[in-house]
Amino acid sequence: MPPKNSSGKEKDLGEEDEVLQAVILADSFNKRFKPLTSGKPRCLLSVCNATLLDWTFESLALAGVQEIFVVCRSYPELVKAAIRDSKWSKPSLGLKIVPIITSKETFTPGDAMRDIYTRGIITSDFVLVMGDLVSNIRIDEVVRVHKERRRTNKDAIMTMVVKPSGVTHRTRSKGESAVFVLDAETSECLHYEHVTGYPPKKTARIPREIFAEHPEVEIRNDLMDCGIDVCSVEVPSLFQDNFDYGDIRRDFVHGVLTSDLLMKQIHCYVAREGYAARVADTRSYDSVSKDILARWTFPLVPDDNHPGGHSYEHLRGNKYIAKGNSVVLSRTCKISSNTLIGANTSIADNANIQASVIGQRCTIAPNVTLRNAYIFDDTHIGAGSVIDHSIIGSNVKVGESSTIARGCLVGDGVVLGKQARLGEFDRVSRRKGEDEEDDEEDEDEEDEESEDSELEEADESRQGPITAILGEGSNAIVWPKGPRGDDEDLDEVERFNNLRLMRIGDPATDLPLHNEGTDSDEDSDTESDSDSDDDLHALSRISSTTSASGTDIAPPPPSTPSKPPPPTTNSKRKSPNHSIGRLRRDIVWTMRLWS
Amino acid sequence: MAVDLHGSQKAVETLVSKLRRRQVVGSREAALETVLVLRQVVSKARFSNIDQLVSLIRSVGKRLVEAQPKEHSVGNTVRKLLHHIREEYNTAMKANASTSKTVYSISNFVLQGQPRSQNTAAKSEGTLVLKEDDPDDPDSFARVLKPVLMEAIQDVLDELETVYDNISKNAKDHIHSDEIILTIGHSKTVESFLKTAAHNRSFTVIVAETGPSYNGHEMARSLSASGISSFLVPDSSIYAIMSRVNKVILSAHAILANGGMFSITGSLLAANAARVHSTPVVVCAGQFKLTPLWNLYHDFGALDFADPSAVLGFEEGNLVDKVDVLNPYYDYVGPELIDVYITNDGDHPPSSVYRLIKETYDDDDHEL
Repeated sequence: MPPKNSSGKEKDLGEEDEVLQAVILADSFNKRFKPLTSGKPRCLLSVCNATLLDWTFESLALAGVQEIFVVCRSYPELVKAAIRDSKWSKPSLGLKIVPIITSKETFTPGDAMRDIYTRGIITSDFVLVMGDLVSNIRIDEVVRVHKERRRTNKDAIMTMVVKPSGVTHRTRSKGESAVFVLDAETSECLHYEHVTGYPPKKTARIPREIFAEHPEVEIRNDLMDCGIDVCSVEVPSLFQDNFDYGDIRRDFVHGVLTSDLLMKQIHCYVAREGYAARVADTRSYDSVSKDILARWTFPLVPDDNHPGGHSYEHLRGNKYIAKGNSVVLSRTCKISSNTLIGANTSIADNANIQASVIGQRCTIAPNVTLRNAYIFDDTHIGAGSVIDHSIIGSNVKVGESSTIARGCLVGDGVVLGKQARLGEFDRVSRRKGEDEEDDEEDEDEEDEESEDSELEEADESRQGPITAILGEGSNAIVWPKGPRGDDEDLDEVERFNNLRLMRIGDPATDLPLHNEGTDSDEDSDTESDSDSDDDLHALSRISSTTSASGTDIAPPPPSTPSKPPPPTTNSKRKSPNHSIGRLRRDIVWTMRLWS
Repeated sequence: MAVDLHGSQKAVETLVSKLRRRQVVGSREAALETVLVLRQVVSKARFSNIDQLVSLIRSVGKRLVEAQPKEHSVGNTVRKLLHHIREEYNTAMKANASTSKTVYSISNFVLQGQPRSQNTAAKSEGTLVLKEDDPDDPDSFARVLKPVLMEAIQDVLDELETVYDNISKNAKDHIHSDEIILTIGHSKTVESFLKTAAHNRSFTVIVAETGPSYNGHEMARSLSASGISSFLVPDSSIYAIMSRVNKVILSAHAILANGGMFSITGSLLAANAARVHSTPVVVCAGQFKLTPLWNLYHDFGALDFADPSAVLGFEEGNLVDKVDVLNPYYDYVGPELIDVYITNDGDHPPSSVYRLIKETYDDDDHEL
């Protein structure tokens, strides 16, 4: 921060000159993309044929960020090389990108933030994003709003960008979402309640003081967390002071908001325009890809401003074919809408491609059917194969007449023989012993323990019933399905059933998401009042007159997005029935407390 | 190539990324930015013969056009500039030859009797001594030619800056009293055309809302603010009110070589409705929108699709997955639907657009 100046004008000028910094946490800190991410970090996975890192850089460059710190943990060499070779490091762009390599002991975003603090690289308000962001939101606008707020209110330390999406939007994570309690006037985030998909969470508990202090409160379950935070300099130091903060949302935001000592405020920026989403899991990989192909991210679309620098021709029905006549399409192949085909790829007779993304230099043999498939570069799909809702890595060879069912992940370099059969949600990677030369460098330092242990498990599970047939001459190994032995010990978000909600192609219809019977009050809020149960009943009663369903509660007077007139007599405000109730899945509450 | 690109390179890259990110939109805006960047490039460039200069400008132009192929005025401006530069060069080289031979051109024909202010300002290059590839002083060519080139660039710039005035100068000849005019979208060209006409005539303008951008609202507001009686109607009623309309005035995003044009979504609807009622369709557009291209790929237009959020809100989570929404920016309006183009260089029927293009640009520049 620049020294305080007596003259306000000079201070303005000083802030204008400041370099806008951004921090990208380019590590996922989880294993949702395994085995696609064994061998490269998640930020180098390609989405619509550009790496996630490129999408993130473009999102930040759009906002006029001048200095970017990329915090990488896994495969730092690969990330460094990718940054070095990309167009972003060209001096003419005026972008300064600094890779920061944290230690292997960095297990959470919180650890990364502590590392940033100890390095002391942050000099002013900065943008914090994860390395899997696809966005066209004007982040500079968010920064401006944040700075303006900071000028009058030094306690506003962070602004989170959220986007109204409706509860059932494909891009909104089912497994991991949140209820935001916002002050309708200042959009201060008053309470943050993390919601896991399974076990289904039915109640959110909101501390009573919130209603006492704020005349108008919005409780919103329709917001999608974009994973873009504008933070002030104190944020890394808060992480340093609270060494148990791991996750930025669940620990940090929740912690700051519930703490009586910190007295800090966090605000939300509800983005009405623009698009921003994280590719946090394979399911959102699918939906973000679809959003890009359906041009929600405009002008960040393949035919316009492809972050990888490729150029595509946009054809009617959102088909994108690489320019330059390098794509060979057979006369009889059928390309349906929402498809992207990379350069130098050839598609043979009678192939049927529906809503899929195909990388560069791939060959699709005759009679192949691809439905919602994502195929990375240099992959060969054998004749007559059928691939459904799956992600296939690069350099993969799929033998003739193979079937890859819904939700499979096939790692890089896998070879599947003829008539291979992968069942639903199978994960397949290359067997270790047969790894060739290029793996030596990859594996030496990587999180060996964890990977090995999983592979051992893989071997064990192979004694059980194997649904997958890998075919002759395959070099692949099938990963275990189902919950791990230590599933119960895991973080709630990372438990198997919750992760199922984040898998590509998994409708998870068998999970009892709406079962009334399991309405338990786990992880109850420390601040919730003892009488909240009564309130809950009170509210159910009110709602029973309005809502016929009776399962999820439809409460309040009309959910008006516009602000109702301020209460005329709010002088002697009591705190009556307020600490609230159940979540209706698609409602915005604007609650007014009348005295 | 002995070219010092360092300073201008940055300007080019900045414009490239602005074009890619759609931070520069609108054909006039893009054309202006392009001229400014090219001026910088030319002023910094070092060259010792005309071919070096031309290939340098072409390479920069190619870069800009590839950055945003849908903003045609970028390429048009580069082509026009190349044309001007060659012209200046030829004049300078043939300093002694008579430069005043009149070329028979269709725009001269149209403009007969109206002096063209641009070309009458005879430049006094008679004394220039041009020497290409001078081994003693390789910079002499550039040194001598540069002031002339700067003047040529300034001409292009001036033309862009005065384009609205020049288009609207004959507005009162096109709009008669008590006429009912229909227009669509918010185009600065049409706006100034109508406002100029309103100085001499009183008429009524019906503005279509022009979803999904609803630019028409802005247009209607601006017209009525300057005292023109205007109505705002939904797009769906364009056909119904067409029988009362005397004239349809549209704007263009790009005029294509066959006489058709790209223009804002809804224009095709208006033009077709006008055809049914035999209502004249008049298009106001600056000359920088003349594009040596055809619409080959899309039957009905839509060279550019924007994001669906203007049509279907992102909050409609359930629908997003099930519906494909297309939101085209532009319609392609064929030449058979258009009666006349009013440009800053006279009025032309669609059938003579090809000729205008031939006169405005050099044939070798069509592919940059």
